[in-house]
Amino acid sequence: MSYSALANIVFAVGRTGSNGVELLLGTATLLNSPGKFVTAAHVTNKDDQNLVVVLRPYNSIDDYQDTSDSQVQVIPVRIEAIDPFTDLCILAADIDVSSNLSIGSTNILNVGSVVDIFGYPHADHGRLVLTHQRTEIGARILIKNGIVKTKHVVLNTQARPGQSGSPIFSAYTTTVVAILIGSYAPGGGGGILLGGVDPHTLHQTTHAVSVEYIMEML
Amino acid sequence: MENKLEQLFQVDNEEWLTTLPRYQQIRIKELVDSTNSYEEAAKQWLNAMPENTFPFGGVEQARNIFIEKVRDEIEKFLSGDEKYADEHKQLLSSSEILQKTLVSSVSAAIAPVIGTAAAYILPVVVLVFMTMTKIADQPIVIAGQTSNAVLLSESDWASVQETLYLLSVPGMRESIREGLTTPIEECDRELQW
Repeated sequence: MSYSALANIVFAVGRTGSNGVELLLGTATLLNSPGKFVTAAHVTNKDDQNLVVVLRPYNSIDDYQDTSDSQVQVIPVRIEAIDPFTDLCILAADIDVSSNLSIGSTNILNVGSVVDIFGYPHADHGRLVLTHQRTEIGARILIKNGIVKTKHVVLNTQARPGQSGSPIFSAYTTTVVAILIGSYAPGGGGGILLGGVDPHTLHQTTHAVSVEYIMEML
Repeated sequence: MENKLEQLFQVDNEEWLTTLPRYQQIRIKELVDSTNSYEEAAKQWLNAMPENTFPFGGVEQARNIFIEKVRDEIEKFLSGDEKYADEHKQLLSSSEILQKTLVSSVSAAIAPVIGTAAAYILPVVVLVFMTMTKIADQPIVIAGQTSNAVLLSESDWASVQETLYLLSVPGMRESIREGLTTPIEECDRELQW
């Protein structure tokens, strides 16, 4: 399968201000349902005021993405459904466009399965480059959140801010199996920042939640 | 609170849950069952975060939303505070107000004030309403060091006052008891004032 069309399916999420898009927050994916996107709940900070998905002028992921071109188009979105326990969120826009992606689950993955990740790493620095990573599943895990435990996978790759909300595809397919939410950090990290980076997150243990949970949110 | 809104609280608590989307109903029921407290369930919803995971969202500082703030804003809405005058008026002008209408109207009105999305605050509004319904249902004993106090709903208080008044009228208690034991066929068909 060719991933070139993902340039029109995987977008950055941002917040606008008086000067246009002032903050880039993460990644969102257009679903097979008109105007609906999936992202990680924390990307939105649970607030949809001035929330937008950001469009770049590329038709293919193989195009050269001009890193000096800051011209973007935006589509206003609202939070339609949000679950802080799975950290999943459905955004809705008043557009009649959908994708051909199917929704799977981490149940179809085994340790060692190859997966593809698409997102906007370093978006916190204003970098808006749709980037592909290929990696393997390191483990299938349950993560506790209050009284709830949900299914996740460990991705054997390093991720950076801006990649939260990134779709994880079962390799070579159009099936999304998980959504990237962050990296392992004892106690949730955030203790020390060096150059804006938490040293606890500088490793290859990245967490992604099974996307199956969005089925009940749509 | 207006009578029209007060009536909405004369329901079984489970009815409030049905105003939520299915996925939130399931989650909130789990929380209420495990904590046995509406307030604790609301706090868990507001503080939920996957354990030992550093989020890779953007640069925004995660915002903390406190149940006390939500409760304050709900009370302002219900009492018709000028901040929510338009939304309050619009709600009361509806011919029929359902629990679901009230939950959505309050959530949509207070969400921007709190700095969050209506979809996120919806379950917290429901849990606060469930607390209010619980208070309306039964008296609450407030334990003190030397003595206890009892908190009860306004309607229950009015009912107690009415009973005390009727019992203070000489012969009223006996008259009521006699009336209760009188067979229906012995009752007059026409009132003789």
